[in-house]
Amino acid sequence: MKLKLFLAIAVLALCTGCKDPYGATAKASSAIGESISQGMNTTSQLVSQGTITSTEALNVLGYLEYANKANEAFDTCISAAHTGGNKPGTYTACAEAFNQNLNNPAQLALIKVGNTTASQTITTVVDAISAGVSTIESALGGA
Amino acid sequence: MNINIITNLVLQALSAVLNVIAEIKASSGLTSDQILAHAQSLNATNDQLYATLVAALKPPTPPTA
Repeated sequence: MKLKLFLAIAVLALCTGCKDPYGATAKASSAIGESISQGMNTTSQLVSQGTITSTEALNVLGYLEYANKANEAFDTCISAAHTGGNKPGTYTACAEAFNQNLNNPAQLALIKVGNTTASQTITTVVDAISAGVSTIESALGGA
Repeated sequence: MNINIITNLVLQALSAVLNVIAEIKASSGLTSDQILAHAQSLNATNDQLYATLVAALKPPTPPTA
């Protein structure tokens, strides 16, 4: 929960007044990429601790890789928005598309694991990623 | 709940927060283009990390006769 709140506040701080939507979205992508990396390493540790099974870990990693691919698409989108002249609404459209990808029900189903504690840990990481995207989308204010 | 599991979870969460802080601080002196390039590099690193972890977790394929 604290990680989720922190990432949301950090991403919001990147875009105060949002005079630089290109820089703000690039920083958000970077912070989200770091969270995905942490999530992958945490998943690996949960297997090592015997808290989740290898099959569960492969599913969770599948979701995190899916989120990583969505982040790659976000990068491509914001780069195009920048080279396209920073037209109003283009960065927000990128964030909206990213948010929709992350909330794909079929993909979210992959993060379910049997152990309650491990489930909370994984949910915290996934929520942090989602909160980061929602926050940058909101902070852009339509930019 | 086992105290070691709680300690590990707290340490992991703290580590994640510290890494995000480091990530934002590291990008503060860069241009937007450089930050985006860094983000893209992180994506590529994550792709590699995913491939490595999957390879380690998947059971070995039995040899064909």
